[in-house]
Amino acid sequence: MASYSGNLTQLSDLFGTADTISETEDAEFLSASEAVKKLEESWLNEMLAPELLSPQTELVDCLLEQTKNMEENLMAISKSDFRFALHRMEVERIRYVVTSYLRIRLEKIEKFLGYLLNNENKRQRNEPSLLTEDELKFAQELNSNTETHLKTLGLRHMPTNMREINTQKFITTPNRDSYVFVCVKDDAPSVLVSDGTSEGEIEVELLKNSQHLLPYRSISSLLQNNTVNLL
Amino acid sequence: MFAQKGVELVQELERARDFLPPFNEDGVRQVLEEMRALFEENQRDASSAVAGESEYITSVHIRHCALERNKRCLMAYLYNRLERIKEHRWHFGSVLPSDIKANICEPEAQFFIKYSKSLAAYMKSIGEGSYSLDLTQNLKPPKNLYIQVKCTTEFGEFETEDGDIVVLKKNSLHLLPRVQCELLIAQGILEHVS
Repeated sequence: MASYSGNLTQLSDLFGTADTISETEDAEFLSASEAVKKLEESWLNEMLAPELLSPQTELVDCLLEQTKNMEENLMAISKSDFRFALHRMEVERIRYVVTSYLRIRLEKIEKFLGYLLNNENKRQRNEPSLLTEDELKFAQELNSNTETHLKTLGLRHMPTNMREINTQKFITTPNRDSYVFVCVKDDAPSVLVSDGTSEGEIEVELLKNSQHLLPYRSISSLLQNNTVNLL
Repeated sequence: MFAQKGVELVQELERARDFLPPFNEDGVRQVLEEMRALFEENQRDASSAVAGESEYITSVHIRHCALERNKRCLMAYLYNRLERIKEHRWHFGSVLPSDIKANICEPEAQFFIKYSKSLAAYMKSIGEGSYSLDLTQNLKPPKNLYIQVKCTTEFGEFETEDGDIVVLKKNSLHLLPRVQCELLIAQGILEHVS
């Protein structure tokens, strides 16, 4: 993994694509190589976390823009040129990471469908959502399609008092107690970890650049504000 | 023995883990028949229990449990088949090969079409519409730009993105860009040789 990201960032700097700037929500300017690195981190986090994380829509959008620009530039260079192959590979790699990221999210959405839709309904207006608008539409359509299918094939033909299924009983919730490896990016004092009994909790301090194996529950908030990364 | 047919349906799916067996319409109908028969018997006994004869209460209870079990088996069977059909969309693309099409029933085919449509709408919506991303491609990290492929069936002419026309005859070897080949490899027309 380390060498893979090294290749990408080196290429970006070497061939001048580091000149293109992308803007994030806080009006911070990220160079192309930083954007790619951030995408890789989000991709790894999403792959290793047991539940769905917040969507990185701006990052995905701006990287797709980038690849489009790069492809347009590629049209200008002849195919046998050495630079063509390298740029092409970089476009392919970025595209792979983006598609993999979106695919993992869709997989998790399909797996935890009931749980996520319940959360959406309970969410207050000012809280950020874990699903983008399009993901939400996809999830709702999938839910209604499954229900209609089960109704047509089975429930419709059953005796009258059994025609409903209590979908709430059958939703799978993500396992927030599973263990994950973390790499700490900034100092994180006072992280609460269960000490083995059902009630007690210990406060631990996590130092920068250390690595730990912890229950996901203890570090989920740190993951959200970027103090730790999953390995 | 109650719910025997229901358990058989579930076992059928359990034994055929790698492929989708044909839709057992007969089995489903038998399960629904059994449920209807149990329900009618229960109604008779329940009405007599209400009238005052309390000896039928346990049999009502047993039949009710059998009904619940039948319902659960049937739901599990249907839902599991749906899961496999969804997997097929990711594996085969939006057109199913004919041997799989023969194994699914009409409502399942409808579900597949609707699922494909939802997925296509989602893929179109990423990247603000100017650029639709095919999420079923790029399943492995790219190692080379071009790969060596062998054609397994007579396919005819194939045009790549760059405009080159390649004639795909049986057992012919080609060096093609990886992106173009992925879909054909998934459908089984091309085979990757190293």
